[in-house]
Amino acid sequence: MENNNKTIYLKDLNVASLLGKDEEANIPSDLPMRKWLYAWLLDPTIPGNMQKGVDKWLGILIVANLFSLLFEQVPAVFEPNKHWFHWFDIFSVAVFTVEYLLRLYMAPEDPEFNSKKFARLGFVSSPFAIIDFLAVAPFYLQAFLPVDLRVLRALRLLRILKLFRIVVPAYKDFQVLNAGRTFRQKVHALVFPSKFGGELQKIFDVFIGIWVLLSVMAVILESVESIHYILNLQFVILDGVAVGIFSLEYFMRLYACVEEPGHKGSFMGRFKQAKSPATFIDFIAILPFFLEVFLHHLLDLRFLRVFRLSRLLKLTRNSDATDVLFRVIAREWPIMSAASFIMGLLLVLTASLGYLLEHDAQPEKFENIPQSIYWAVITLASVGYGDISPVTPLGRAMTSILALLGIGIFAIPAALLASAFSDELIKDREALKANLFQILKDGKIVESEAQFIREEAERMHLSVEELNALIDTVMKEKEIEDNLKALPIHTIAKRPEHAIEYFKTSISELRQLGMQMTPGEFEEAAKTSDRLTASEMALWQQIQGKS
Amino acid sequence: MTTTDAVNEPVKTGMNAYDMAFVALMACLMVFVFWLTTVNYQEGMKTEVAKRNGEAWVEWLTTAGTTRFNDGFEHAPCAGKAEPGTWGECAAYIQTQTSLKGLVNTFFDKPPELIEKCNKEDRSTTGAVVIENLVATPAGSAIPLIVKPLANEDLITSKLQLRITVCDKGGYPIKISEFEF
Repeated sequence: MENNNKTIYLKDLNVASLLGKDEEANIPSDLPMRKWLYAWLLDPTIPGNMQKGVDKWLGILIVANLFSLLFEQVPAVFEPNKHWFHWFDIFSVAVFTVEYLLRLYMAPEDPEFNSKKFARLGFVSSPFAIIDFLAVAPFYLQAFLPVDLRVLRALRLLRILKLFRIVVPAYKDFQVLNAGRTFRQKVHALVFPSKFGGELQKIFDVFIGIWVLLSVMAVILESVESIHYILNLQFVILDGVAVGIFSLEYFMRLYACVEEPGHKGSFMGRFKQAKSPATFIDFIAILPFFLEVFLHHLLDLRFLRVFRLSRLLKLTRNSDATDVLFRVIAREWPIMSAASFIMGLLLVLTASLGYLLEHDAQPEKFENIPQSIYWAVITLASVGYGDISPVTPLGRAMTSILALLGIGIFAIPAALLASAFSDELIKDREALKANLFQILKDGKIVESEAQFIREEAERMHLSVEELNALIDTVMKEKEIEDNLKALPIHTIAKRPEHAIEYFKTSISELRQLGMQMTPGEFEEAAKTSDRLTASEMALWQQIQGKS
Repeated sequence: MTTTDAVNEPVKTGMNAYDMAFVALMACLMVFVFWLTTVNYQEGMKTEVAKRNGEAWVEWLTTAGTTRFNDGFEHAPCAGKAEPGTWGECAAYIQTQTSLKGLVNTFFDKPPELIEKCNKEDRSTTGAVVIENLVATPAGSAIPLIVKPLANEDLITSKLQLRITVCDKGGYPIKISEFEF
């Protein structure tokens, strides 16, 4: 990364650059055409140019080519869409040819070849260029030679090799990052996010993500009778490959998890990992395949296929949204459980009343209390299917009240969750603000601090503008604090606006103090030593947002 | 096995016995998954053969359906003017005297049976063929069609609307086609 070992002074601070999101590359426009093109399109050392974008789109096109090749093997898909496949092939070859010619043209600018006497010859004979050539050559070959269609398709598989252009540099980077590390540590770096993973770990995540989406799509499409009829065998193969990949991933995680902090011990560490929600999801994702193969002759395990949809949950590993959800539910559990209790009570009461009032009039619909509970839930939740409805005047009156109560009762948990989510986000931002305050105190940002800001901004999905606004606020507060601290209290008291700022700063400092301490530590110490009055304690808790 | 916390100790970067055991286990796992996929694929192939059997029945009956009311129809038991003109006679003829006599239910390596309905509780129905008669109900009825299995004693002396399904590995029906016979 270009920011390595750099210290950024506040006067030079550029948030976009700090986050590695420089909007524009600094490429002089008066460069010679070839140099200028190379700098824009292919130079990996210039931040903000189009090199990463070019690589990404070429990667997507290569993967699309792989799928196109696979679907060409399925006559039911290929035959009706033959012309679309043909045009896609022409488009792909056109893009890959332009790429090859551009690379050939710009070879003298590439540091890999410009030291050679004949740079372009050096490029043409390089492994990547040979792969690029092989990716397009069969297409042109068929124009001159009568090549068998099957041979042509086999040769087109060579396009997949183009992915090496992305994977090989990532692998080399991975090797450098993991020099002198053990095999297990390398496996860990590949499957768990860490500073040793580099680009290869991201590619691994994307690869798993693509297979998750593919296998979930396959499960959904399998339920469409007409598609399943045609692609039955293809679905079997796809599921086998997906299970192979997910099983490898599962065991690699289990094997390498002992390198994770808090997972010491070859058995206990792995057991802890195995019972974590994310790894349990990984297990559920592969289990139906093995169960169905072994037990299909004993039981009808078709229902297990639906569990393959749980593979979608594997994607939550890369997001902390589920963690936030669980945190929020745990925090609000006392209130939510109280709301659930009231809801349950109301359900049983109204269902019983419904049964009493309606049973005689409609014995087949309000047959018993459990059946009335179904009616009560549908009414309380404002769903109102209408399959069971009251006919007696008293029953109808009660239903009206129940429907109105339902709006409030069901809104409570929803409102609680929404407000708790919002609180959680505010708390995160306040914590980041407090940390930024500490970071900016010495007027500079060292690399480790910059790394922390980058990670937090990424975790909280902060844009450049949002982080900029946050840093501005912190700097203003810091400025005011610096100015006010120099003044004696009686001088501050003379101006209400200064007094207000002084008050705000003091509260902010107290909040930061609370955040820096272990939860409950302050209250515990205050209680045991009896150093705070009840009102002081109440004020402390109010400032910390606990009352 | 150790963790990497002991940073001051020299690290042996090659593969140790545990690493090799892990790699071997992963290789075995891949072979195992490959084998299971092959087993699944072979089972899938049997279902494909059952579908091809169903399609062969559809093709034969559809083709015969276009000419069976003509004089001189070559498959006499299935002709529209046949005596006694029952489905049982026709089905027996098709299974023994026509190109369909070579069909095989690969789940049991024997000719596919004609049964009344697929049954997931009864695995012997796997790969069998179900031929149902779709009888139109009078106009204005809530249900446009009544579906009933084509019984041996049913008459085929008039045009019939048929539906063919085959039973898959789990005894679930796979609809092949609806056509006129």
